[in-house]
Amino acid sequence: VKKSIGDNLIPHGWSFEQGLDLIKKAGYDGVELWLGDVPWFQMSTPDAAVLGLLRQVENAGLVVSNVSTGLHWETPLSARDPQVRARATRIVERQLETAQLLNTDAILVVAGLVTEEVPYNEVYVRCVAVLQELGEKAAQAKVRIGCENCNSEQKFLLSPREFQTFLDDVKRPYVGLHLDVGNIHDTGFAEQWVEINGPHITRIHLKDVKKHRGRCGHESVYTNLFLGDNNWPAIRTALTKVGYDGWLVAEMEDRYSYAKDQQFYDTAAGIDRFVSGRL
Amino acid sequence: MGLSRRSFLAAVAGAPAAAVLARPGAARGRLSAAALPRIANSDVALLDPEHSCILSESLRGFVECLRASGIEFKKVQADAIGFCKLLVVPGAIFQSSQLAEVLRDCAAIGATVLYESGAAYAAPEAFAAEQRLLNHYFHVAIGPHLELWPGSKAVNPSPRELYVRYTWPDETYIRDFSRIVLVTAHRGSTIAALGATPVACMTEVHCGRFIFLGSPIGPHLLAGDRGAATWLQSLLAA
Repeated sequence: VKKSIGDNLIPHGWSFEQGLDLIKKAGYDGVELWLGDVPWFQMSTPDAAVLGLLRQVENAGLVVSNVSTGLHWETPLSARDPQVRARATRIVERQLETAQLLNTDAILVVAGLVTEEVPYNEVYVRCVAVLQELGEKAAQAKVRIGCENCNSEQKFLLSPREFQTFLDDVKRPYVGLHLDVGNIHDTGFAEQWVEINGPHITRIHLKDVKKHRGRCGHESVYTNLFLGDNNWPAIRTALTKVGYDGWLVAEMEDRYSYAKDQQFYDTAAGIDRFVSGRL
Repeated sequence: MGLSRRSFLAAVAGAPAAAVLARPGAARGRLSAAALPRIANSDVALLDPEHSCILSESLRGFVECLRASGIEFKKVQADAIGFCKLLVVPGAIFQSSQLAEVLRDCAAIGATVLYESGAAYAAPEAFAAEQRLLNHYFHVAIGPHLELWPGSKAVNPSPRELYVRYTWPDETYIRDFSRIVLVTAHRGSTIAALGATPVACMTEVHCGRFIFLGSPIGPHLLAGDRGAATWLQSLLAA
């Protein structure tokens, strides 16, 4: 098992290089790069500059664990407008391209967004169709697409059985689940997601959650490891049971107000405790 | 004259070539004698509008629904439409007068043409062409498209009417498709409205009829919407 953390957590005002230095010093093995969420890695960033990012990562003694993006919240693959869908598809293609350049084999995609405007059934059929196409491209690139379970925000694929059925319908081996153990809230239990979808897990986001339903206004329900309601021993046992030995990627939403770099150290120590089983 | 529509259809089905040759513009462009329509075995034809299709998932929706309903249909191109009882034109836009002429002629010899406009998703200049051609060939006037979910996010705070109410051939409710094309004037009857706003109409064209849908239903068919499937089945039975 290897530890990683997102470059979108690098404190504002810090350079990428400074952030990588912090990540290395805090004890991580890799970094998750967020396409579109940080100034140094945008859709317009050319291949040469992406290779430059890889060099910086390697110089820091790290590797890229995976390529993620938050761009699909504004540009969903499930949009009704064909032009928006085309842009959303292009984002995934660029993720696949950059993943290859960055020597990693996984990307994170927020696959569909159920809203009052765009109902569940529409989102489902669109996502299956587009992921079947993208699954072929992913296979060619040898990069796995991990669809993240953003249960509360997406209002989509709310249970682990639903997710399993979804992946069965997509039926592409290079399309799987990027499991976020903090995103399940009070609609289920992370360890059950692990057991049911174990072989399909591409990467795991680690964070804790206070199990309110959804969000409470602007107050985040996500918190640092061991401060929330996740059953960490059960999650660890389930991961052992399904044989997951891939990346554990820290994703914090609530940020430290002061000593921002300390959050990197504390989170790394928390992951180490989780991995060690001393819970 | 005491000729029923069914009798007329039976008669004209034997003479499609004559009907086509008689139509304006038949001698020019793609509608030449070389492209005389064939008589389809099926009562239902589904036009693949190719480059005139704005919503490709709408075409897939009609295909899947017709297949699932066990209804025989033929997929046809604009230059080879046979005589049929119902011609479905999904997610389309009139990019030139050619398609409009073909559809008008199909209706004129007795077909029901179901024209689902994808214009709400087209560029402004294409939308303007759609307005002009609809008015010229079918006397259907459409207003600018209406964005029903401006700046929509995951949560829309203001509740609003979500369903288009169809009143013909049966009363059915189908969700809106985010943007609608408003029907501002026509010579037939309004068959669907969102609240009080007409979004679909039916007009007589000689022996047939032209149905304009300003709110697409094809994507709903693809998503398995029961109301949309029922509406299509009712139309086939009407």
